[in-house]
Amino acid sequence: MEDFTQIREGILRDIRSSVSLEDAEDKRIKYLSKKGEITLLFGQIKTIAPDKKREFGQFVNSLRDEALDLINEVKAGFSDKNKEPIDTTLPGRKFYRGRYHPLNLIKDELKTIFGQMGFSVATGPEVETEYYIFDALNMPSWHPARKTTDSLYVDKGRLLRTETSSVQIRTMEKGKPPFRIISPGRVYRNEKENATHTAMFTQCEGLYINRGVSFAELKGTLKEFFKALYGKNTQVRFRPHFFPFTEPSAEVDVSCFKCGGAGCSLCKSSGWLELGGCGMVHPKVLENVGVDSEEFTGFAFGLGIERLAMLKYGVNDIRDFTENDLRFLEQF
Amino acid sequence: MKISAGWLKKYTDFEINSENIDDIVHKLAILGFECESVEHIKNSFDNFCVGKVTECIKHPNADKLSLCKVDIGAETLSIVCGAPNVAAGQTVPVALVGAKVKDFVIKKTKIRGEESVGMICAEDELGLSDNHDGIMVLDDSYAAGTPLKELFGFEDTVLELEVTANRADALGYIGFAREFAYLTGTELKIPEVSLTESAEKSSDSVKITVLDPAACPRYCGRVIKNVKVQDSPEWLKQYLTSVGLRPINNVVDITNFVMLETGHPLHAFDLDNVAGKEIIVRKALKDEKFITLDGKGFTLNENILMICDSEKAVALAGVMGGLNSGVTQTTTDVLLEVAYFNLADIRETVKLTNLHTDSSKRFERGIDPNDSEYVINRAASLIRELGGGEILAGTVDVYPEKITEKSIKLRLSRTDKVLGFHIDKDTIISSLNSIGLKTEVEDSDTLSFTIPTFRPDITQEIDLIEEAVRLYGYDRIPEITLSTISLAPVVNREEKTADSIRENLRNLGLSETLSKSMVDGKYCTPFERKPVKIGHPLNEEMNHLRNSIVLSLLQTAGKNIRRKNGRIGIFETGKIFFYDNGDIREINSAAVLLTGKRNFQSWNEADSDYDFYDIKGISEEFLSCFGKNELVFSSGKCPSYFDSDASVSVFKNGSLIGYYGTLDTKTLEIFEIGQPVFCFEFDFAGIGHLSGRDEFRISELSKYPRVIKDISVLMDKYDNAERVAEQIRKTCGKLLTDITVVDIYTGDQIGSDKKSYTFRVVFQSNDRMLKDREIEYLLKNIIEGLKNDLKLEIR
Repeated sequence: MEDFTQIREGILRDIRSSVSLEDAEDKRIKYLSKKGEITLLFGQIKTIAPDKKREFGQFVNSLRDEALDLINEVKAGFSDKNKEPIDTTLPGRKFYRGRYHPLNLIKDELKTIFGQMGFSVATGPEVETEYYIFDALNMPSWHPARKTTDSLYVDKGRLLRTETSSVQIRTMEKGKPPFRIISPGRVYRNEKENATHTAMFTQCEGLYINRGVSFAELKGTLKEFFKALYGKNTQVRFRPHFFPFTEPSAEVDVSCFKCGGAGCSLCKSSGWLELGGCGMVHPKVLENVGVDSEEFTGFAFGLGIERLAMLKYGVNDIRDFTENDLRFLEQF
Repeated sequence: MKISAGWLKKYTDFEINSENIDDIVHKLAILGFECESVEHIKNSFDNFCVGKVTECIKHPNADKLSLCKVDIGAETLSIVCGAPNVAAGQTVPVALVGAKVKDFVIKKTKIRGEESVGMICAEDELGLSDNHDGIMVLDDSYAAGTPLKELFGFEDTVLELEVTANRADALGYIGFAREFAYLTGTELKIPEVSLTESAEKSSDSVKITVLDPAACPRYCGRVIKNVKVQDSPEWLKQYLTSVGLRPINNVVDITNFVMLETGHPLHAFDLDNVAGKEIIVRKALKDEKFITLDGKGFTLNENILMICDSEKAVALAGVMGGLNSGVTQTTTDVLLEVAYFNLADIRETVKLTNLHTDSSKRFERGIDPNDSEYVINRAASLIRELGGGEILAGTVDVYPEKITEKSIKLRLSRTDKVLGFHIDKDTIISSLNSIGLKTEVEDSDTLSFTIPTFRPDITQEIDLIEEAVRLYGYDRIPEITLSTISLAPVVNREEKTADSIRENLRNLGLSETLSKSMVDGKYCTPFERKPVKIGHPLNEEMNHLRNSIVLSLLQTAGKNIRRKNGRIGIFETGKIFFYDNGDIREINSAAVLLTGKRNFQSWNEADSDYDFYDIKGISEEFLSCFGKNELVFSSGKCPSYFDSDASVSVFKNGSLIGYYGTLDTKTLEIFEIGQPVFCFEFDFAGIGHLSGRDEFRISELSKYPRVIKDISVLMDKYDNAERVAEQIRKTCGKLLTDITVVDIYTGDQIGSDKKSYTFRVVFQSNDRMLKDREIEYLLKNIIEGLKNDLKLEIR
């Protein structure tokens, strides 16, 4: 009799475990159809000892009834007659979310990372005087950037800023060190437009002036920043360069975030991406804004937001950013 | 600056090869010379050899062709040649079958019925020069069959290096090699000059007068007589070609060669064309005319430094020579000029003429005034070597005030402070010494260096610190971060406002755009603020600064409509520019634009277009983001680019903070937009001053149920909902918690001059359950008020 109990419990457990209407129907066929397992048990009665035949017959009969009831019960649980069928494959109702402009996405990211590193955001005018763009920045009177062929002048002495460094000068003029700011904003050049150059683009410059600020700290700071932007294995490389407003100056290369420095199409097999310029603020610039260059030192850096966005999102034409084609914007 | 590895080897003992090139390129970048390209030049002249023309007769079927028999050692070839100068007895370069000449491969062929196996080549066909004036004739000493590779074959690597604006010295091989020798730990080798001078003196053949010694502190002249001006030898032509210069003749090529070698530009005059055998250095006269050797004419002014003879100007000093005095094939006596000009004066000339030459590029950055003697002697000896002649004794050297070497101090403590790490004193001394800076004084903290005059960029201590760290290696700078406590952040109010506006508008389903600040002036006209013109615009499409953000949004909308982008819901924040009482002002501004489809047809909804009520809804929801403000909306009184019948001004505490509504069709025409456009424009600063969400306090929730009732009111077609709502509010007082319009009916049943609005009113009390009769009383009062006070009918 132990056998019977085991068989019965196995079958009922199996029926109870049905996961859908179709599954329950499959179980009915498996046990109760003409060649179903329970039906076939009736045929086994002739192999049973005569004194047990009656008991076996009762067992199979009641098992059949029990199984049928259970299958119907299980099926009823799956089919609610009052429910309307839902076609889950129809398209959902359309919702629209507002998109970030890719340049703002990058700008916001820079603001967040530098913000956490203690940099405040500073802003300033886009139409500037020559003093804030050139003179205060140690840019000699003969420097090519001063020519109308290189910069966009509004009138004599006033032009669209070519760097956001003017914001640094204005910030330092107004206060006393320490200063720790970034100045994201638009800058302008008198430059013919093509896939990699536009007359207007977006810079994010940074400035940190304090006692004991050094070139090595600049390198460390930029490395920390790029690690936050591109991942913890990011490396930073400095190459000597020349800018009138910083000394020593460097161009900043960052190990390619796509290939990790092994060389790929993004970094033109060099393993490095050139991402900005930086240096120690020139003593003359500090003196121009009344900061004692013996007591205070500081660094400045500049990053091109378009360049960061082009690399990050694979944008090949810089003009796409101000074209504002919604098919472009809706990808962000 | 292009550097040939083959030539660089002559100034240091280091050889660049395929094994070490990558390492060198990397190290040069770290030293401050970024390599923009590496070019391998190779010409092995496969299938070219020397031939002897043994026979040359006229082609029977063509006047201009000749039939030649050419002995190439192993055999004699028949070659048809079209060059007029071909003749029997010549030794010539021959391209054999299989040779590649320019872009085609030589094959055995028939030309006008005569067999031709190979080709006799001109110089350009060998890639030796641009010369195509007939076939090249070689020296007879070459045996027939000699592979051409033995004569002209070469292989070189040319590096294109970026030299920063402060480093004029590195624009010459010697200057660059000084850095390269430091980099590779080799010795700098400066070519020695041995001069054979004749008894006659230069000073007897030419007189030099400098009228403006401030602009021209030094002028050296030297005369070489009876020079044979001819083509340069192959090595010189190849060298100049490999770095991108065109060979001209031996004298001009030598001046270019010595400029590339020393970084000091020099000029050669045909002495016979120097009137009065006199050089006068002076400023140009106002409106003086001059034609440069490339045939361009210029009108000069008093700022332009000129080299003149006793009658006329012969060169724009330091920039370019004139058409009238250059060295040509007929020149016999050469006057060499090696001068030092004031940087600013050269820049004046470049600014006026826009001539950026190899010479001006070097003078503008500042060259060494004190290497003039070496430079002029080096050029003179090379001219004698390659063109014969006699070098007259002595240099005419006008150098009234010698420019001397300066001495600059470097404090080791200061170096540590600026760099943030320590470089050993001996390391600093030996590295600076090896690039030509001599140590003068040395004590525990202060070093003093003599700065050679070829490094005019080093003028103060910080320049020395930079050199010290550059030579130490930028790749060895440690990466330090100091864990000091952050400065308290300074909140930038404008930036915070912009971020808050952007966030809230994005949350309303609108996408950010960013447009150019520069626009075509014609688009500024609908907007009331006086636009700012750009003095020298790039083009007419960018000749003004935008005076409205709506302008930018309309440009964007127009583009997207033309591209069939159907759903346009956008906003922009940014600067606008205008004149205010004669001053240029720039302010932050922001606006929203809706046009086209609100949504597209789908199985569950019909498609529909944006309308006035979308911009109204967005404006209201947006303004509610900035706290509970008492806002007053007033129809009309909007700027003229809004449709006066479908626009609303928004006031807060009596001051205007924005407009929304439908735009005027005339304005849309300017932007070539033919469909309705809806805008919401608001005062950026005004939004910034609205009380923020941070100051907002909740209203308590009532524990008692709400009662909702609908009232349909028959109104005149031109009547408005607010008049009715105001009357209902007045009647009900505090018990009315909400009122809205839930249905509008128009139709024949009520007459074409009428409409019916169904208002839904919600009653609730905070302190009690409203009784049925209270509600009835309120409804009765509402209906009576509408009937009696507003003369309206209730349906």
